[in-house]
Amino acid sequence: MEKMTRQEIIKTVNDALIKEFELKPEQMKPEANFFSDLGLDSLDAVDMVIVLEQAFKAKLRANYEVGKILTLNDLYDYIEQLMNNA
Amino acid sequence: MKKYDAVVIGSGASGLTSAILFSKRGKKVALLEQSDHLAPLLSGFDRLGVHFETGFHYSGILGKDEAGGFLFDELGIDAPVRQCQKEDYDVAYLVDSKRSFRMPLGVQNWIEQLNEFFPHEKEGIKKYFDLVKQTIDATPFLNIHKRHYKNEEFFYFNADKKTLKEVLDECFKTDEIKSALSFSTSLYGTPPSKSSFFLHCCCGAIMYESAWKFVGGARSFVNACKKVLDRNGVDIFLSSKVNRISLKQDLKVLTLDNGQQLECDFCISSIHPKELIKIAPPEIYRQRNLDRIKNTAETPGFFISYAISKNPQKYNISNLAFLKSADFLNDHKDSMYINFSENLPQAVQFSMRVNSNSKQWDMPRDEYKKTKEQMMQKIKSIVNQYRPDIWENMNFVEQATPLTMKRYTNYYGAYGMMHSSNDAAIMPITKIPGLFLVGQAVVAPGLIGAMISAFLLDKMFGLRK
Ligand SMILES: Cc1cc2nc3c(=O)[nH]c(=O)nc-3n(C[C@H](O)[C@H](O)[C@H](O)COP(=O)(O)OP(=O)(O)OC[C@H]3O[C@@H](n4cnc5c(N)ncnc54)[C@H](O)[C@@H]3O)c2cc1C
Repeated sequence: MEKMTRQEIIKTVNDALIKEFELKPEQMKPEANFFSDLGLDSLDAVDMVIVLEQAFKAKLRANYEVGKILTLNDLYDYIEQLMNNA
Repeated sequence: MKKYDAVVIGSGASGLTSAILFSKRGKKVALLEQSDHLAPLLSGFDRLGVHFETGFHYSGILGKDEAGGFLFDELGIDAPVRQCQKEDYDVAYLVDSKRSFRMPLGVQNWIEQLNEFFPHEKEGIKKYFDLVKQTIDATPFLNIHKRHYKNEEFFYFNADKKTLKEVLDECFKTDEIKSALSFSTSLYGTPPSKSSFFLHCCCGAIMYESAWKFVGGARSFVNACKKVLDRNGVDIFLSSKVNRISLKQDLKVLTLDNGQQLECDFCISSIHPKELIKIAPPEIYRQRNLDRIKNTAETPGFFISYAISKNPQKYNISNLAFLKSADFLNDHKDSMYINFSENLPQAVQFSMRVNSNSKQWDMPRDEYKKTKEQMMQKIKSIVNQYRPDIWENMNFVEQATPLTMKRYTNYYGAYGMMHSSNDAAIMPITKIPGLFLVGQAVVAPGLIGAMISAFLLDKMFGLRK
């Protein structure tokens, strides 16, 4: 996976999710919880992974632990960590 | 209106399994099937007193101490299986080098046989079988009988998108061995360039170690399931096509084509996802999801010609395929194989890959007849090129096309939706609480994949509690 700055990661994630789930930019606060704040369900969680894989052109699911990523911030951390380990 | 706790739509391997599992949870269950008999894909048919299999010949891991045997036990079904004999297992006739590769049983035998046939590929052969073993070992549902997995582990993603083609290209230098090892993609309908290596392991590679048939054919499995369904008080509705699923508060209301209606708390669909979204309320998925499902490719279809052998002696083969090295690169698009039953008189099937596009098959009667004749000629010319002794001994009794498939299963492609490594997986849940999916589209095609999908849903139920 190509290295990106945290800022770039956040932008890529937000753009992809806003488009896929028809979210509003102002909803994309780091502490926003996928389920209670963004209104996604477990089916959307799967789609989210797929959409992000397309956006980052990378596999995000290897070793992906269901249930550990609850907020946008968790997601940014996860992707940043994947990039650093790549 | 009759009310059930759970209604299962479709009585194939996944529907039968799901209906048993829900009834085992003490639920009042109904099982609905559009065809006039249970599991049309597994029940087969008879012509001139000879039984023909429809959608099942053999499967890996059905033994007592393997995943399939464990699933049978969990369901409480008594479906007798028998290991395929080494000498009556698959044969690939390698057209370019004019050699018959007899596919053995047992990974070690495979390795030895391949080493003998392809001595320059020894390193790759080892690498390939190591990768197969790693992948199978790391897949909880293929090891469900080992019991040491926690329920949630069954839901961890395996999403390595590496394709079978990529793996074979990495392991091997020559196309003939790649062609031989990717032929099994015809048994699950996703070609080597689109199939993930993982899918290949779930559907094809599980047959290296063991391959099984049902004693008496796949209808033995159906009958064994039927016994348990009857014992558990499941109501079975045949010739009952579901035309519409609607919502009445938390209840799902199913309308059949005869106008009858059923209500349920849980509705489990085992039908083709493209058919499901036609009859389900639009809120089943987000629009983007609906579009994805609509755009997912269908697996190729089969033209099958059924015959009875006039030869008083048995052909001691179970399957015979003619393989060119070039088949690997063209994704086995011209794949053709012959399947022999084990009883005398022998039932023989000639299956050729054909287009499964519904539009392709929307044609007037005489054109349909002509198309079938052309396909017969094509098969005949291939068989006669390599094995004229087989063709001249056949008494042809029946044919099936993707249209026949549509009549009996409500889809055209042999294995329903394609599982391309680029496409999003079909999930067991929908946006509608209490409306679930099982079936070959969810996990993988084949008896095992279909059954596992129903077990995963059952585990999800267990987890929610
Ligand atoms: C020629 C051929 C050979 C095969 N060989 C093998 C093999 O050797 N080994 C192996 O493991 N697998 C094999 N398969 C694949 C295997 O048969 C399937 O993957 C598996 O049986 C699918 O089970 P399922 O429950 O997902 O779907 P299905 O069996 O298709 O069940 C869905 C059911 O739903 C019914 N239905 C559809 N729409 C409606 C509706 N609206 N209302 C009510 N009912 C409806 C259909 O009639 C159908 O019975 C083969 C398939 C084919 C076509």
